[in-house]
Amino acid sequence: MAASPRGGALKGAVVLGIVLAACGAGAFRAIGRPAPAPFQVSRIQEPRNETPRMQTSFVSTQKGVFAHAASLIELRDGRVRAFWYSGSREGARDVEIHSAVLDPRAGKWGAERAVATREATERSLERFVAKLGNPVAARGADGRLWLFYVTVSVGGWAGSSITAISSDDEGETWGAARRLVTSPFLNLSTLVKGTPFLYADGSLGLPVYHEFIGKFGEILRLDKAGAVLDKKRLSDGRYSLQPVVLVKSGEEALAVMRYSGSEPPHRVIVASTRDAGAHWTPPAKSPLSNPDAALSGVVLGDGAILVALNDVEHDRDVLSLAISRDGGARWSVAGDVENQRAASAELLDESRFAGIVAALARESGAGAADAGVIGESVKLRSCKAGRCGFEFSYPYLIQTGDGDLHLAYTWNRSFIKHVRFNRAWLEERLAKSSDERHH
Amino acid sequence: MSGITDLTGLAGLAVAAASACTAAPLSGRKRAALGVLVAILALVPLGGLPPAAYLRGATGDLSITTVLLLLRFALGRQLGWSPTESKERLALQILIAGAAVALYPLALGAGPFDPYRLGFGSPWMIGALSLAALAAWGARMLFASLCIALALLAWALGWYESGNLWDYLLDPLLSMWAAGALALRGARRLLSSAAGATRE
Repeated sequence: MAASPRGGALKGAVVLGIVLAACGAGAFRAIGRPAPAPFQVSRIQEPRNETPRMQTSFVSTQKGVFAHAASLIELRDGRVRAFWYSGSREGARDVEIHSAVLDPRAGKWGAERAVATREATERSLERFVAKLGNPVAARGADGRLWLFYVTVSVGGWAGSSITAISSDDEGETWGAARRLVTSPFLNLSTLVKGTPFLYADGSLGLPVYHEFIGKFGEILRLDKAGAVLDKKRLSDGRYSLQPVVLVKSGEEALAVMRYSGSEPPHRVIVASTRDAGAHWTPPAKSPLSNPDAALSGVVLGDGAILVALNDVEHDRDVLSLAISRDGGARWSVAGDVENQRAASAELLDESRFAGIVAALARESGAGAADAGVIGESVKLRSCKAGRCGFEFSYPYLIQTGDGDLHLAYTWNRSFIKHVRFNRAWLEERLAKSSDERHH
Repeated sequence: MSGITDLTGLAGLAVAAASACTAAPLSGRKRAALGVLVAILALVPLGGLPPAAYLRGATGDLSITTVLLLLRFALGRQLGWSPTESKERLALQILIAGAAVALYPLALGAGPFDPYRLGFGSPWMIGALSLAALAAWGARMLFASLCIALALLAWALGWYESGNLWDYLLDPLLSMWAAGALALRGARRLLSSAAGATRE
């Protein structure tokens, strides 16, 4: 059906009107985009003249489950809330995001409960969700608590996207889930692990990573409502994952990343910025070892950088603390939080393995009755064909307002363990250590 | 509770499902009734989620370009509109396939440059798209011009959950359609030139 000349002209005028309106609206939104902002620097001065102090406990209580990828956040009243994922196995449909709260005075973790499930996420997002993964907690500039967690609709972890929920009552109740759209191809392959940080304008920096065509780190910048404002790559290629951004000043930061490449030496990857993340140095290998495993870190009151990591090139049976007092060039290893390398070398059978695990559980604060059950529970998950292996992985380190450091990590893929220590304990360990490394 | 962007996302997929039904060999009225019925069924929750939500889990939200192309296909059949001129269709397919080749591999990590970042409000990208929409209008490719303009407008208004302009312009299904159509066109030309050479 041919249009009349008059009808054609009218159609052309209507389309031109829409084009001009769209150009105006697009320009208006682009002009309204927030300008780049410096990092927000928040330093906690540790109390002086404290006596060295360290205590350990288990955060998770469920037995016979797969517990992994802990994250911590300090609540307004000084308590610490932990999040992790828990289910019958990694990637299972029954995996939920669990949470518990530490009462710092009593030194005890409260009851474990689910804060996000696959079914509730699916209903809230109005889309099919196959499984849940890593959670990471953040405090917005307005005080709201955010929880970002990995959701997968199709395929394995390469098919991940990030879901966000927020809470106005310190994590007791949570609002509707929303999905962050961060990738153009079906929103595939963006995951969280590293600690979020703030920019001076109140926007939130969320370190993320991809593992589909490339394995690389990025920073997402989110507004106060959780919408993505911008993203910036930290690395490229197929060898760096799970960035942690350590803010040194308004303009300077060091990013440390898991090394996922095959070329030895297997070392922590680092990149740095001097212009608040507008540009990053090309990723380079640091003196710290890395067995393709996550790490975590904080910047202490005097500017020293403390990281928790598996400082070995293979396996995850050693978990250590390392400190740098010069912004990341030289590192001193402050000893091991966990070390079962000698036991691993013995090729333990199941009953000896369960016995060692039970003894470790008792040392970690579990009651005598519980320790035996923990040993059996871990044995079921960590032994295959009679061979057993230890794993202490996925550390998450924060410093609370009282200066204490809190480290949570996956303990033999079955529990989340918490280590709380003060600066005096750390310095005491450093004084005894002679392990110093530099480029 | 659904947000506005969930409703717009699901509506886009319902339109896609309904449009696909208009290819059925039925009379005009029956075809329209089937399209409306499918759109409604796609949005009715079954076991907690509507069928469109399962599709959404796999495909994500459809770009504005895809929705407009499907709507044109469905309504055009229903109302007896003439199909898009082949010159304009070819221009659209080249633009879409070219953008997809430039965007997807690099955005997923095939190189250090991330073109997807431009979609978070780069003035350069908005300027280039505005010029492209005006150029298409000047060349009397009104549908192509409308696709670009409505994608830009929808992004500016926050129509979908994505805050990235690329997601309003392009999606993988659309890219596959454009690349497939171009490949088919190329193959036909090759075959016909081969047949011509044989006749000589």
